[in-house]
Amino acid sequence: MFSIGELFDWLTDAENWTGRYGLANLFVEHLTLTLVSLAIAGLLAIPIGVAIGQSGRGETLVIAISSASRAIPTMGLMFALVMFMGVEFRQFAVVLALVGIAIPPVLAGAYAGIKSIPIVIREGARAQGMTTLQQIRHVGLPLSASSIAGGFKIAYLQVVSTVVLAPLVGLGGLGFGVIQGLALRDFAQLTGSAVVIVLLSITGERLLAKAQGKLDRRLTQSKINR
Amino acid sequence: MEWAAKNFDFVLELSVTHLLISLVPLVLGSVLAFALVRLTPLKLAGTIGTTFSAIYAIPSLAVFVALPAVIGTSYLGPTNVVIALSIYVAAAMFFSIRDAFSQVSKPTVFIARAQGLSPLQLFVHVELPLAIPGLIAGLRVAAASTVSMASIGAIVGVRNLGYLFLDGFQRKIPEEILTGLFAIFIIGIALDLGLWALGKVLTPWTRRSAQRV
Amino acid sequence: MIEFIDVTKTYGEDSAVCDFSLIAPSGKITVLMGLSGSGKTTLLRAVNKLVQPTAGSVLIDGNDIADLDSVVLRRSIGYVMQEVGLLPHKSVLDNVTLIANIAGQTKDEALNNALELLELVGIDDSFHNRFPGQLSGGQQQRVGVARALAIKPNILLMDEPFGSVDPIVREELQDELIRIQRQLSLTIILVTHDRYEAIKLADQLVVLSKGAKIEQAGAPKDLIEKPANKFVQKLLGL
Ligand SMILES: Nc1ncnc2c1ncn2[C@@H]1O[C@H](COP(=O)(O)OP(=O)(O)O)[C@@H](O)[C@H]1O
Ligand SMILES: [Mg+2]
Repeated sequence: MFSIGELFDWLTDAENWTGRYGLANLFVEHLTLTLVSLAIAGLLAIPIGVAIGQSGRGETLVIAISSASRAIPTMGLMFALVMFMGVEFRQFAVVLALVGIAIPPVLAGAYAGIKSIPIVIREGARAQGMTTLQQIRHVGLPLSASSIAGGFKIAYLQVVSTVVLAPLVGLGGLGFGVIQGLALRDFAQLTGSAVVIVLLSITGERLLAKAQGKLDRRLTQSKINR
Repeated sequence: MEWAAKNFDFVLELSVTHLLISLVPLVLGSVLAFALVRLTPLKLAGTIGTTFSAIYAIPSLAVFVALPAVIGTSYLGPTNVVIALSIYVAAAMFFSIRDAFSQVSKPTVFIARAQGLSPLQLFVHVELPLAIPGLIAGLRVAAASTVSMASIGAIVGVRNLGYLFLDGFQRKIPEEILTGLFAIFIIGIALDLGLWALGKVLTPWTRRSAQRV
Repeated sequence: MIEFIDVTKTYGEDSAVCDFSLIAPSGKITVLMGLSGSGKTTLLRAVNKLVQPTAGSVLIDGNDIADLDSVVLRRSIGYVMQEVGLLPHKSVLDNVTLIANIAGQTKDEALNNALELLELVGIDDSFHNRFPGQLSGGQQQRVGVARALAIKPNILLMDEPFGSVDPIVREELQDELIRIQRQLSLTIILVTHDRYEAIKLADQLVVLSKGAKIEQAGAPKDLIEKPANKFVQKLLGL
């Protein structure tokens, strides 16, 4: 067994933060992989989710994607893609897997956001003579922003936790210290890396939850009187 | 699928382990969540909720390897994984159970209480049955993610279907990885259908034919 | 002038509106009255193309609206509904200026126009920066009327506009509507199931039964004095 003191020493040792496999570098790698995947997923899933919610066409697709995606293990998806695309393209394969993991929750968030807008508000916008794009810009997007943020929150958690496994297919990220620590029985490295992972995931979750709450308050203001 | 056929017994053995290592946390976690929802005073509910959503945010591998440091279990082996998954299930089910019960129609409960049902009778005959759709919906989500997450346990030495990913990748056998994906998908879908059917059986009044009468 | 010619709308087997013909004269208030489900909303929505008639046509000042672009058409017609449907994330003022800005009014023009309209409907300056959720139901509906007028329409369609406000406020709103209608000489089609409101507001009162069948149409006075049948008598509470 090792003690909290050892953990503290490991985390405060500058040597463990610097270099190719130092925590700083791994942290940046982890965050970059996560944010790039989320951004790509957002660019794809938000327009599609909004379009489906707005038109009411393709709703079964959203439901099918979100329930099927839950049954697919993220770990297996990542391994399979790297295997099939070849180890030399692993960076690309991992991002593809992460995008695939992030799309369902963001898609569901965008779709549910549009669907949750009271029908009278959407009708009101249409009746005033807004074009479809204007309806999306002035009504659909602002009023589903909170739900979209909620989708990103779920996507973030799943992506961050899948990136932890990236070292197993030869990439970096904070999982490196965990995998190496397990192999070398270096419990200080193992636990120290886990602590940084925990901080990254909880901080991100809190930030996104805050954003979600803030955006949601705009909607609930309308409910004070009715 | 030559590989799968040749290794059928092995895959079956891994599947059984996988199923067990998913089911046990599902039961333990749900019971724990239920106890917390029903037994903790309202004041604590917020704190528990915040704690659970934080725990839920932690990547599973980090929990698997952090647990030994916290509670002194062995780094490798199923104990960690079962405990960690149970906590995840509890975290997810805490919210579903709370919402399922809070969505039970207040007038219905109120009238039943006015008719003189004891708290226990009220729970058994009114609250629990009416909360079933919400409980089942929550369990379906928890089951799917637990089955998927359990595969990560292979990294800390649990011999379940996740092992096929690690082994298949190392030995460059794509079919092995695909077999793992497929088997986990099937287990997930089977559990989902089972829970869905259970929900239907337990709530005959929600069936379409019943509504028309 | 709004002219319905043999308008029919069916949903599956059911006819919401069946062979409906009527003229709503310019500068007058036409009130449609009937039981719930008689097709009133469907008729209103046929005028701004929120509903596509199965058969028949609607003409505005002689032009078939089928030939008009729906966005352009809707920007020439104000629409007010019971639930108001203001944008919850925009201030009162922004709710009124938004569509005017979109429709191409300059910022100043839209703002001045909105200020004028909010005064016209009796919303005090101190409310301009509030969110709709911070207003009473009656105030929200006043803003709804101002919003409908922001694009300077000649036509106003009102679907049970005062259905969810208290009786006292409702009377106030009715008085103001009459005043605004005179001032802007609007052509209004208004749906209500409140017979007092119908009699008070209508230049032309149209009593409808299922399928938007016209039981009787004319000046309220005539309907009261000579109800065509039992149904009209009952609906008007005679
Ligand atoms: N989108 C729709 N789909 C199917 N039926 C509809 C739809 N809209 C209206 N109806 C039916 O058409 C009839 C008339 O509806 P409506 O015009 O809303 O009546 P009113 O406004 O007088 O209450 C009702 O029977 C209603 O159920
Ligand atoms: Mg109606």
